[in-house]
This record gives sequence, C-alpha cells and structure tokens, in this order.
Amino acid sequence: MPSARCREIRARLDAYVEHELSADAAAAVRAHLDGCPVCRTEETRIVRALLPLRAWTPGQAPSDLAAGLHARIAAMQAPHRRNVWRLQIAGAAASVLLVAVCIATGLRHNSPGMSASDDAPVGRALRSGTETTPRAAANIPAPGSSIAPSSELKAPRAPGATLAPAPGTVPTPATADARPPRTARTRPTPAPPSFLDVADSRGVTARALMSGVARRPEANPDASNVAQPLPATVVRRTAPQPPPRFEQTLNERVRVGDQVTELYGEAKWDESGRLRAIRVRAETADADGDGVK
Amino acid sequence: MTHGHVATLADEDGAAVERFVAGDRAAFDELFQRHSDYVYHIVNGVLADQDLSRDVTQEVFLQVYRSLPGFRRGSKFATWLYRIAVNRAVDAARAVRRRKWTSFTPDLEQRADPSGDPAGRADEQDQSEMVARVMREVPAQYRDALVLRYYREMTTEEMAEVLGCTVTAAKVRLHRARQKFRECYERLYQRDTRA
Repeated sequence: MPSARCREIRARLDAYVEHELSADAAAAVRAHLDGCPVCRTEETRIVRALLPLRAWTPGQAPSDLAAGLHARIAAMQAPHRRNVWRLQIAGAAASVLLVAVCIATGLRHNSPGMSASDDAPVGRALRSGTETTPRAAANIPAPGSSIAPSSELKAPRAPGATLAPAPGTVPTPATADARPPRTARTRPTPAPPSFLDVADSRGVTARALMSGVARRPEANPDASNVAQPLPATVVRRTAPQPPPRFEQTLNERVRVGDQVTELYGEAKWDESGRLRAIRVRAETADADGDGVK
Repeated sequence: MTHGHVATLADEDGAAVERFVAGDRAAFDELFQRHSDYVYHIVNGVLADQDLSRDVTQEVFLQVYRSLPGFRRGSKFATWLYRIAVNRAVDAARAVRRRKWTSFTPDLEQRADPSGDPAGRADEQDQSEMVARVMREVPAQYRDALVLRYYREMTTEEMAEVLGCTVTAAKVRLHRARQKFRECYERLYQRDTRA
C-alpha cells in the first residue's frame, strides 16, 4: 500500500517525466524518487508507456482528400439546383393551369348545365375509408407479427433457422401487412436465440460460417493456417492487395417484429491471399427509428 | 495579440474567410489547402483509421463550408476549425466503439505476427503504428488531449483553446488521458512491461 506521499508523487509523475512541472515541484519529485524505489519503478513504467507517444509522427494525408470533398460539396449543392428547376417547372405549370382555367371559365360561361366536379379522387378515397396507413405504406408488420418477408428485408430460409413465428401468427405476406388478432398482440415476437443462427439470403448462418473456418485439415499440419473453403457469402480475394484490410463479406437485414437487425461480416486476407481474420457485428434498431442497441 | 479569441481578420485565414463570405468560393480552397493536412492528422490521431479519417476530415470541411457564413468575426479560424475536427473525430470514435466487432479468429490474428512476442513486435513495428493500436483501445473522450499534445505538439494553453476549457482543466484531461493510454498500452503489451 503506497503511502500518502507516494500517491501524491505518482499523481504528478507523468507531468514530471514530460518536464511539465515547475522547477521546485520537479525537484521535490526527484528527491522523493531518489529515496523510493517503488516510485522509481513506477516512473520507469510511465516513461516506457509514453515513449511511443513521443515518437508519434503524423502519417501522410490521403491525396484524394480534396477531390472527395469537392464531390461532396457538389452533392450537397445539387438539391438546391433541383429545387430551382422545380420552382421553374412549378411556375410554368401554374401558368398553363391559369390559362386553362381562363379557357374553361369561358367555356362554362357558354355551357350553363355543366357543374364543377365535386368528386375528386382525394375526396373519394377519404369517404371510402381506403386510405393507406403509414404502417401499411411502409410495410411494417404490426406488433406480434413475425418476420416480414419483403423484398428489402430478407427473412431466414434455412431449415436450421430458429426464428419461430409467435404463437397465433402465420408468417405469410398477408399477415405481415395485416394486423393480427388482438390476442396475438399481447406478447411481442420472441427474438431468435442467437444472431449466429439467422441465415442469410443463401441460407448460410454465421454459425455455419464460423464452423467452416474452425475446421482445419488434420492430415496436413502445414496447412493449418489455411482456412477451409468458405460459404458463398464470404468472397475470397483472388489478387493480393497489400496492405491487408478488412473487407465486407456479409451484410444482411432481418426483421423480427418491430425490430430490424443488421448483420455485418468482414474478413481480412494477407498479401499471400491467406485468410487472417473474420469478425461479425450485429446492430438492432427499431424499425421506425435508428437507435442502435 | 492577447490570449483567446481576438480579432485576426488581418491574417491570411481571416482574409480568406472574408472573401468566402463575400462569395469567393476559391477562398475556401485556400483554407482547405492550408489546413487539410493538419485537420486530417488530428482526426486520424483520434480515430487511428485512415479510411474513416478521410471521411471525417471531409465532413469537418463540409461543416466549415456550411457554417463559415455564420463564423464569428474576431474568433481565430484555426482554433475554431480544430475544435470542430476534435469534436467530429471524438464523435466518430464513440460511434465506432458502439459498433463492437466480435472476432472469431484471434488465433489467426496472432499468427499474423511471425514472432508472437510483443517485445519483439515492439521493436519491429513502427512506433506510430503501435500508438495507433493503443489509441484504438483508449476511450474516445481521452484521445483528443493525447492527439493535441503528442501528435500536434500543442502547449497546454493551445490545447485549452481548442478544447474550449481552462488550462487547469486541460492539464487534468491530459493527465487522465495519459493514465488511460498507459493502462491500454500495458494491457496490450503486458509481457513487454513485465520484462
């Protein structure tokens, strides 16, 4: 247990080794260190840890920084240009409409039996009650429904997939769009036991992907570093491209109830094309929000 | 020139800002040329990721492009710019930490190092690469102080100006940041420190 004096000195050791203390304060620390081998060891450890920081040099800024920025500025300004065009088009349309109204007014003046249309499409839709709800328009299933098999969100199709529908619901496109009975809404759809068991569009699960990598040939010990052939979801890089960086090999979205889970997978190869690492990440968010959980 | 925010419209940055606000878009290129490397280094120091740093650096200048018309006269452009860069970088670093990856192949990662010995690795690796690796482990809120002090070699006063805090607060922040860096360094290179 360090003494109070030792604790006081250690709190200033980093500033001491970086020569940031006043002369008096530095002399006091030096005097303590001369008589305290434990604090001297601490000083050595701090010096060793901070040494790389002192040698830290800025890397080379990428050469395409300016080009990328100009492209983004242009993209940022593009909507303004479109708005100008929209205004011009709207102005032209309004002019044409005005002329048409004038002409129509003149014609009606000559046809007294004609009445103005009072059955506009909007009015018809509102009266018939067939307007589309935001939920239906967005193809978001009601709470309690299972995975929504839409073109955008892929539902698991592998036999081993464990995304079981909630009791009382049938995972068909019809139920995905329609509200289920009230009894089925009392409990949300259970989440899958593990994201690793969620299959992608080709029916391959992350767990299968992992096990494929984990298996190694026992007959040839020299080849132990070489990964087994990977499922189609992992794209092997054919041409070596140093330096090795992670490349995206999997990106699947799965909707369960009101939540969307996005699965990302990345792999990294070295210069010789040998697989060095695989990592996955899952982000779950509300279907109507973007909060990552 | 007094410490803090003073009228600096006479300097080159100030003149360029004036021209940009007056409608001269080329003045923005001038500001970019003058500061882009510096901003990139701050951002990359915090993020330790070149691709992400490129994006964030561009976002910093996009924000500058949008905000320059409202830039307060009398403020120092460089300080304002670096503060944006630090804040953007720290935000991006936090976002990266939220998206935690699960590695399935730590053994393969280790095998990438031929010696497998951290001490040997330390000798072989570039020091900056080692720092980048440690920095990725340091909590985002501590990285900015380390970057400004060690990467950009700012004084505590300059740091305080960029970070928007007092000199005392900057010293405390730097002290805690060093502690965190040391913890992460020793965790990553534990065998090295035991030796």
